[in-house]
Amino acid sequence: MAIILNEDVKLSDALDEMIHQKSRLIFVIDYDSKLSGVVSQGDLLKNYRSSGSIKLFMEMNPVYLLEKDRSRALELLKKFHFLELPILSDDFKIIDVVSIWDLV
Amino acid sequence: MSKRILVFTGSRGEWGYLRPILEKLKNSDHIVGLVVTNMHVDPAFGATEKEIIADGFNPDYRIYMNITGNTQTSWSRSLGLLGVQLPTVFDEFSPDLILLAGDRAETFVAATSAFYSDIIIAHIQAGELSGHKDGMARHALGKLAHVHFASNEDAADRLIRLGEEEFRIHITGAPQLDNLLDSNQVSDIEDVCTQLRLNESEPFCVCIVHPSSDEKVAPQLFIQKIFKTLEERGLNQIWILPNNDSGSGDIVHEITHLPKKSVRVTRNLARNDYAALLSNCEFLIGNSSSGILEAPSMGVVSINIGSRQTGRLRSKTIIDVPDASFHSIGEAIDSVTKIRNFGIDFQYGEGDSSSKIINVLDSLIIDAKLANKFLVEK
Repeated sequence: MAIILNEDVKLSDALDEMIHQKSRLIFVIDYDSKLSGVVSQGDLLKNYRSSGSIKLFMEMNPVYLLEKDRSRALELLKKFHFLELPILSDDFKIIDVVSIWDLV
Repeated sequence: MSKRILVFTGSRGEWGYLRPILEKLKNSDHIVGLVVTNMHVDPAFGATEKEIIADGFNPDYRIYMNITGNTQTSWSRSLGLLGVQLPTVFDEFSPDLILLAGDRAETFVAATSAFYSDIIIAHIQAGELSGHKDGMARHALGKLAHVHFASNEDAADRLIRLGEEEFRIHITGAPQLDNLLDSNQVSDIEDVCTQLRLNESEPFCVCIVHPSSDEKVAPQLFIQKIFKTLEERGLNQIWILPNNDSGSGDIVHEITHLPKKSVRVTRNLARNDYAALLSNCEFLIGNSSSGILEAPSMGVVSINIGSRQTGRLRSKTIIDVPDASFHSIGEAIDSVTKIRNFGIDFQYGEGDSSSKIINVLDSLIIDAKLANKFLVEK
């Protein structure tokens, strides 16, 4: 299940959430609920000593698809070797998360 | 004669100055210590020491100096924290000489600590003009430094006019150009674009905005204007987050919240990757000194916004936009195609500056004449 957290969530809380939800990827949103980045399990582990928020460690150039391009989801998931991909509205809010398991 | 040389760096910008020198120092008789601080050891600014380590250098001393907060007070306290810790490094390493570069606040603190610890200071790029606080820090550094490595005649003349003794001044060029002008040290653009999830066949420009204390329009307000003007023209934008300075937090916030469609953001870039982006971009835009030094040396047009770089020796490939209005930024972008063929400009050196600096360090005699500074009034 996809995890979506606000950019100001502390790294330790994000790690707890990841363990609790058994997921390896967090989609990070800002206060307008727009996608700001992604944080992987690796990003959190590399910085586990930090008391900062996840925005300090997130990948700031996330791969995504706009709703109108949804049909390209499998192509992108394969290209980047991802398991999940966010689908965004025109104003960059996450409206769905596509999993590779839904498509193969 | 072999010397104990302590090299100090707090930001990725300076690392670009110092790396080619440290590469040459590796093959010298000198005993070198490397101290890293500020952005190099702070994850909030990319913990850029990993770039230093990837370049094959291991920092000998790591000083964490940053206090949380984004105010003048917290920055000032952070600088104090550096000043408290640095003399311990001096005690341990016992340098004959400290090598400093640029005009950053932490470099000024390092110079102050070294000066009062009776350590000879060699400073790269003194005598130039830069923005208000940075500019004053640079001139103050010039007063404390015992050896000046100037980028060009213009900077050397200014040092003399400011009362420096001529024997201390060596015109060497700017060493940060050495790596950029060496094509063997430029990354493959395809790799860099993949890393940034950018389609390399689409035109892009590089955007860098730093805090500046003396602007009529706050630099964070440039950002929306640059973004919208570029977006209207269908240009992809690669934004490089600024150094850690007072005021950088507002800029980082503004950049990281730009819509991601045509925007890519990076906290820091390896020097080789930066060289690849710069040599392949349509133009550089913002208020970075890279637009004054690096871009012209690579034949890349730069659009310089605001007053941060006022007074520096500049190439014809630089378009100045002092007022930062939508209209002026748009006009500057539209004129880029007209100005593009001015060619390459080597006003800041031809790629051999680090060798010149090493020659000076090799032959430098540390004696009372060098250690005791006098102001020569003109």
